Amino acid sequence: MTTAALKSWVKGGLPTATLRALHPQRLKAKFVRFGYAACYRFFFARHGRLAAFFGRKISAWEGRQGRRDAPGLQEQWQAESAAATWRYPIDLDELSRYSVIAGYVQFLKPGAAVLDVGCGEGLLLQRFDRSTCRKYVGIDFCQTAIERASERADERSLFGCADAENFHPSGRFDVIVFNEVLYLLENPLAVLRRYEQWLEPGGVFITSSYGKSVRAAALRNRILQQYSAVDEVVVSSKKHAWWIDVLTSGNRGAQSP
Amino acid sequence: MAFSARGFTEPPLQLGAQLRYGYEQLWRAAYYRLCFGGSTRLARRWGDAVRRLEAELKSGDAPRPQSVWEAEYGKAAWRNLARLEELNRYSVIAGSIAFLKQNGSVLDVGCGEALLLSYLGENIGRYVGVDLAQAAIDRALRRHPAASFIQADAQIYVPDQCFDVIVFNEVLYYLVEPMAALVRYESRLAPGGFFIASLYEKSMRARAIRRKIGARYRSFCELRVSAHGKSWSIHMFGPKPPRRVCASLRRLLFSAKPKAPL
Repeated sequence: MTTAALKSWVKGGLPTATLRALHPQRLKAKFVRFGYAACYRFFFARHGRLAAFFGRKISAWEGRQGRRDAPGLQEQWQAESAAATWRYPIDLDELSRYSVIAGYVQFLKPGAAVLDVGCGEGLLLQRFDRSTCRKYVGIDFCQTAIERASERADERSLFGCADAENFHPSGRFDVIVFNEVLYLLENPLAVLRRYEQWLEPGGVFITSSYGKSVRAAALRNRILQQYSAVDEVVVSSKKHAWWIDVLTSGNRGAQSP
Repeated sequence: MAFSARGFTEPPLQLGAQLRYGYEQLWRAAYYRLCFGGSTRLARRWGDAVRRLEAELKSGDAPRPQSVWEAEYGKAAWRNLARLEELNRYSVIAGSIAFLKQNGSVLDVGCGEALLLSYLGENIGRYVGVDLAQAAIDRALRRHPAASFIQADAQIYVPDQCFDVIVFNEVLYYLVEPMAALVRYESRLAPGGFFIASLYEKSMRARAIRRKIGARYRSFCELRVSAHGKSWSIHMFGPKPPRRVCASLRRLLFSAKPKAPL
């Protein structure tokens, strides 16, 4: 029996679904995804040459793929925001995420000073009651988003265009919110560590991370190893899922900047 | 000492009793899968038997008499609803109401101590809370002296006004005939109004109700909130738009272009 005959025999015998699943491109995609997940699982935010090597590889790959849960898409974001594709999260499932964050602020720190890192168009502020926060500062690197947010600003809120990695706030905050933003940073753990100095004693971080992103999941695991979670919740709909965590830094936040 | 659904303090069940318990639960699950909400004679009789069993086992997700509610609220057994783990559910419900119906009117069926009202804050027009237990209403009034509360059985109570949002927050599975109750409250929805129901995921009765809701209503948002090993599904749904039989027929018969070739 020749090879060609064998091939045709196999093709004739196997069901279409199996053939499709065994297609070389499928297999390659599976292999790549598995490797990607494994790299994040074992090497993300760790020291050592191997971790650095894989980190470089992965970030290059992410850049090529244009993944939305990876850093380095600032220009794309600027363009999208200018084109107003991110105008409103009308989706009710997105809204529930904002409600949960607002609920945490109201329940844990009523009348808090809130810093919203990566605030976008300031949608979180809209979910806050008058009684929830006494001061709100929102930063985002996207100029267009900040312009839109500033239209809604009132006397207790302030919006500014700044990069999260080198922003230097004046004063401390009871709550620092990272709403779907940490995994978009190059070095999220260092950023989180940096913001600890602007946390009031007993203050909390509230982070939200997208449940379906490998990078966000790996990051969340690392964060939970370093911080203690006061509370964590998963909000999910048919399409999306988000982890929302309330974190304390122990007594590290009390140190002076 | 064994952990069980019946608590830590009770001694573990004997093998026979365990088998019996498992059989009862299976039988109950079969009812909720196959016959729940049906109108046949079998469904009614099986339903009665399941109800009797639930009363005997004191299931946490089944109808219970008013005296139980009064006693529990009297000794503040439901105080833990104000704790952190239940917070997310309330914030999601309140946030959705505030977003979809700014300054809308809200009927909170089974309001308990009216915890939802404190989450709603100032974004709300009119709020009416209904609860079976007078003890709960007393507590709610202590929290919110200005709000209006009514002591009534949700299964027979008919509100005299229409509401934009009717909330059933962890309450549907305590009603003997939840679907009938929903249908009755439907007439009290203002135009464009909707229901919000939160249902505990682990309860088979709640899951059966959820399936029924999916079949009967148009659900525009289904969320799941999981925290502390528990999860709740939150549904927002409204009446289905009326089916335009004539229009569909006309389209089918006389439309110039067929929809898609078969």
